[in-house]
Amino acid sequence: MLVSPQNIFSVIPQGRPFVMIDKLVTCDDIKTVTTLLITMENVLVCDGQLSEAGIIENIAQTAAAGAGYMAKSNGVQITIGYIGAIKNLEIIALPNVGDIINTEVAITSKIFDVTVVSGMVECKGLVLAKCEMKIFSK
Amino acid sequence: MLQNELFTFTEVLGEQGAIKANIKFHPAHPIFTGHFPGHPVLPGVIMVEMVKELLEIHIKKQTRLVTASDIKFLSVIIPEKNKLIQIVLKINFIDDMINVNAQLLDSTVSLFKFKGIFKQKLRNNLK
Repeated sequence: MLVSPQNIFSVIPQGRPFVMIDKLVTCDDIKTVTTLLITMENVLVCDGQLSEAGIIENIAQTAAAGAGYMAKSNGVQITIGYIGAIKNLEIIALPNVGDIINTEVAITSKIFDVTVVSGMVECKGLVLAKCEMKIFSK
Repeated sequence: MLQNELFTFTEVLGEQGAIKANIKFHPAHPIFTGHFPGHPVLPGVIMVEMVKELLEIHIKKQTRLVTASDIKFLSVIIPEKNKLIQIVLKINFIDDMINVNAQLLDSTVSLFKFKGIFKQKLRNNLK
C-alpha cells in the first residue's frame, strides 16, 4: 500500500464527504490501483449499494490519486481534474455495503492537460464496471 | 436519492417520450464541501445521477444504468453561479431497455450530454 485511508487526501483534491477511494495500493506512470470499502455513510450509497454515480466517481478518483501521487513524487503541485467525457461505460453490477472494490485505471494517452484512461472496477473476482474516461486537469 | 437534498426538480413536464424539468441546487449540501474544499463545483457524476432520478420519477420505477456509450461534460456547473438549469430527457423503450438521450442546459448553452441505456431494477438482480 502506498497511501493509507488516513492520508488519501494528500493525493486527491476532493475532501470529505465526497471521497470514493480509501487506499492507493499501487501506482506507476501507467497504472493505478485503489480499494474502497462500501459503507452506509457513503454519500453515493443508495438502498445499500454504491450508485452508478459512485462507481464512476471511484474510477475518476483512482485516476486522480495516480496523477496526484506521481505529481507529489515529482515535487509538482496536485492539480484538480475534471471529467471531460466518458465512453463505453458498462455497469454489470453494483457493490453492496460491506464489499471492498478494487479499481484499476490505466493511462492510454496523455497530451498536455488531457489524459485518457481506461478504468475497471472489480469485486470478489468479478468485473463490476468499466469505461474510458477523458480527464482535463486545471 | 439526492433529489430534494442536493438539488430539486421544479416544473417537471412529461409527455410520451420526453421529460423536461428545471433544476435548483442546494449549495449547503455536504457534497459541495468535499467537491472541492473551498471551491464548490457540481461533481460530473451527479449529472448522471440527475438523469437517473428524473427518469425514475417519470416512469415511477427504480432503474439501473447498464451502459452509456457517450457522456460529455461540456461545462463546469457552479451551484452559486448556475442558479437554474434545465434537464431534458428523450426516452425510447426497446424490449426491457430504456434508451435515454439527455442534456443539461443553461438557457440555450449545453452543459452536459448523455446517451445511455437503463433497465428496470429488479429485486436481488444485482448479485
